[in-house]
Amino acid sequence: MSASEKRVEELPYRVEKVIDARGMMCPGPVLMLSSAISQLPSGAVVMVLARDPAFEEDLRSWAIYTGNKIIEIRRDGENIIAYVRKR
Amino acid sequence: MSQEAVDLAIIVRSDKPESVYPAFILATTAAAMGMKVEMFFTFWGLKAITKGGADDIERSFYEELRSRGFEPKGLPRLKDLIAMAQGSGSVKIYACSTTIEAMGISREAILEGCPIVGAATFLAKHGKTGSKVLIF
Repeated sequence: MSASEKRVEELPYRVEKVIDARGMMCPGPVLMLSSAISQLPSGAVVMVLARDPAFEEDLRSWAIYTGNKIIEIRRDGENIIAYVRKR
Repeated sequence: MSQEAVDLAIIVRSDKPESVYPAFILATTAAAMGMKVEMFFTFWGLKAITKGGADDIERSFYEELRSRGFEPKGLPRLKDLIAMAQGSGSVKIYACSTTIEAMGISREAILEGCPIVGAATFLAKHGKTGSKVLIF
């Protein structure tokens, strides 16, 4: 987590919540993200860490369907790191 | 049953893990995507929404996995998925009245918040709204 925490500080936007869904397969990461987003105000940014290889595509589909915006998504080894802004 | 539009109707007629898990995985994910879902549990599927039923189904699934040489990993708890579905506000769960009568199941054995309904109630609604139907 230390590298990820450091990264949060370097971001040009404020992350309201970090979700660590590593170790969870579908539908865990999407459900955790959805639950977190529902409790935040519009415009809030959530960072998600996941290892489910299906998560990147799942996240894109979820974002298109729900209208939330993926600011950034990248892979670091087997980790998928995504930043999502609530619509 | 309410008359608001439903996006997805899921019918669960089996208590096999390969039926119950995907049914709840899709229901909870649909809720996370903003869809309205209704689930109807009939025949053996009713077990999934009896008290303790989810744990029995999960236990037998884990035993089967281990007997085939797999160690369960990364799977959500079935009872957590059910609780998430119930807590989402977007998934309604119904129990089949005929199954309850035929199997002599008491209303008290069914999870709280799962109304007992008949086929006409379910069909009347989904026939009109044209919801997609998935059968497990």
